[in-house]
Amino acid sequence: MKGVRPISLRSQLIGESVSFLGQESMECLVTQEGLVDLVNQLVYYREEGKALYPEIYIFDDLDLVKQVLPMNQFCLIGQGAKIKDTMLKALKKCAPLSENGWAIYILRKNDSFEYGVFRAGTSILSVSISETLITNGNDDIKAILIHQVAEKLIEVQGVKADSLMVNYGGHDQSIFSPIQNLSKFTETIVQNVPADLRDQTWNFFKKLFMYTLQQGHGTLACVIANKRRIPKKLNDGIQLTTKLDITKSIKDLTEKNDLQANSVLEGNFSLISGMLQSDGITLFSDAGEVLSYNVFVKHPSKLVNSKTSGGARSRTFLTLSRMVGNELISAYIQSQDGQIDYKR
Amino acid sequence: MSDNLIILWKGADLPVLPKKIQDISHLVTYGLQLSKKDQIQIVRTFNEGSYEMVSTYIWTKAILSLKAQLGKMGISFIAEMLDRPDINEYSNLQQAISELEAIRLAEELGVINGTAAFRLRQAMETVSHFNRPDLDESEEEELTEDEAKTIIRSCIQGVLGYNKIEAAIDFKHFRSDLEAVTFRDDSPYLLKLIQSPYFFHRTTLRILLSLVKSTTGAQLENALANTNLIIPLIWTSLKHPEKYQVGRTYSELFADGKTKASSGLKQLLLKVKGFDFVPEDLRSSSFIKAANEVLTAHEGINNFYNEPVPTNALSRMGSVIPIPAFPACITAILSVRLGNKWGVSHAAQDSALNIIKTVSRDRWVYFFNECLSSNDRILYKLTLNNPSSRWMELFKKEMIDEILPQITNRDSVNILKFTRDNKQEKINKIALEMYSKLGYSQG
Repeated sequence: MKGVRPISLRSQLIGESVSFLGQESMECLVTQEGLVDLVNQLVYYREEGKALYPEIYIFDDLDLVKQVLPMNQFCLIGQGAKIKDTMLKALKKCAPLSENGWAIYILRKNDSFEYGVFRAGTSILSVSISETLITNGNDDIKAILIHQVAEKLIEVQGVKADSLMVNYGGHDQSIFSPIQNLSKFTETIVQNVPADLRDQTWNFFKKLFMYTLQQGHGTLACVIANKRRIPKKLNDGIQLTTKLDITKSIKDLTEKNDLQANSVLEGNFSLISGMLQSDGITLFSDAGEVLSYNVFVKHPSKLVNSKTSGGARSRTFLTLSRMVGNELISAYIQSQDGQIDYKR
Repeated sequence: MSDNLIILWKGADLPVLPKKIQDISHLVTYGLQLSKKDQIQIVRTFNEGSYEMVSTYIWTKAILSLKAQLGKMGISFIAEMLDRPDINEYSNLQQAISELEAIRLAEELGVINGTAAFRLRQAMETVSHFNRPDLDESEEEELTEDEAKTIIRSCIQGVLGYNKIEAAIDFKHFRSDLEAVTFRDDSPYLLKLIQSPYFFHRTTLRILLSLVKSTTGAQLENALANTNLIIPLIWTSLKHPEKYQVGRTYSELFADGKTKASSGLKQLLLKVKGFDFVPEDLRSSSFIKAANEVLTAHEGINNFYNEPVPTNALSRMGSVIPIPAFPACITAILSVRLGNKWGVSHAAQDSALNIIKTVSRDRWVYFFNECLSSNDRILYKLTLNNPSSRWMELFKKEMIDEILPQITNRDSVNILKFTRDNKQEKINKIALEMYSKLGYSQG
């Protein structure tokens, strides 16, 4: 008689979680279980049918975190016994609130968990919470971030330990987070921005592409050299009469620091996000400008007749990739399921 | 400054002017920045007896030249050195910084030496006083020939006698090394810095913050490494206004999205446990801006007429001054209340007193422990007769007795005791000692 072989990721995840917490010097029996459950919950996290992409931070010293994040807002939502169910309750209660820069926190106390939502900074330009606490984190501020970076792909990041990338999809495992690809592509959009504004402009584009990623929308983009004419092959689209110069908007905001300049930058953010979510390719210059969108490119006959596994978007990406190094600096594809590839 | 101190840089030597020059036409020939036409006009106006006119003319020439030379160092650098977050690339430096600030900064950067700074301050006060529109038109209220001659001499010797004036060579080397190389912890610079008077600590801190804000790439890496090496060595000796400047810079870098720079300062603040000095919001910046407007009016020409508007504006901002802005606000308000050696702006007094009344005992304790000993503006006023006499009226004996046990700064304790006991001369003397301890010349 045939038997049943149960396959569960749980034991492997618990093992990884124990080792991860150990490297972060944040060992805790409850957290190691709760972490695994949070990862499982995030895979298909939806509220009322809408996909949510909350960022969840776990930390131990709320006062220090508040001090490190200037201009912060914290909103305590609840607290409970130090059990994994409280961590899941934190996600359930806070996830609907975690949009527009708000993230979830779970504070570990001696015998309880406290949870709520928080944000920091004054504008889109401000350094992100994850960069402050995690990417450029310090041993003194213990913090862990759990988030879904693309569909069915959950990342657990800490300050010291290697990140855990938990893949529930059918794609091949990659050692790179899709966010690394996103990050590298956006670097090419700002490579010709004046050095004193490059950091901020890069922050802006990273947040913009992350936002598009979390909207669960596929997108195509490419970058040409500043002041170069748009290649003929990319003429079939909506060419902006006045290009959107993000560097200039950022310069205005940093110098004037007024509401009007902030409003212009926020306006540009939503406008470009709409462009990225339109059909076709969005074209950037490497000086942080948007030149055109809704651009369509003719696929070479070799590609049309070839048996590539992807759909039209993948073929377009392949077409753009062939132009890289000649007419283009870089090309980028983000599929609906969150897979990201780029070529430079 | 005592002679046995090792210092990082010192002011340029004065151009040599003969001690005795009777003839004004001879004196102006030492003014290398004065055109032939200027020289002729100065001599003619002087000989006609229009002493106010000639003094104001040459004073304006000198101060404009000084500000222009400082401006060549970069507006953002000047803003950082003066701790003036309200000054940016759009600001007109000639209008944005006061005359006193220009002289003080020139002395701190070694553009002019302490004696020249002292003489220029005297000249500024004299010109300011005789430009007051409310002065009687009697002969007694007019500038004398000797006073005019002193002003002309101070302006030439301090500023106009140089072809161009610039920061001391060793200062320039120090500044460029802070961004060009990463210091080792046994660097001779560091040994010198630790032994130097306070204003060298403050200036070094401000140069580093200016570099962290404005540089990129390798220079930023060096500036951050040096910041993380140098500031912890002097952190305990830094007073709260300077510590708040570090905290405010971190906050601004974070808000502006300067990831690398903010991360470097975060590391420093963790190292020195300095996060208490990071403002919770940017509200304090508005107060600092308002306070600086008061100071610019107070230290400019026609100050008695220009002080009331910004002082009223500051008083309307609310009685709870955020602590990061308190050092700047209390300096502004005390400056208005103490006035200068010629008097006070009467129309600004009500607003100033209203703000002073809202200052709690705890805040006064904070002022005497953390602010006064590094506050060159207030200390300088306390060396003068009239301002120090108005200072004596500020504090009631009961209040002094109440806060005295909480004051840990020895000089501040003495100032409070002399205030309580009505010993004005002793206040003048100790204020001069404290001013000198900071590194400024006594003149």
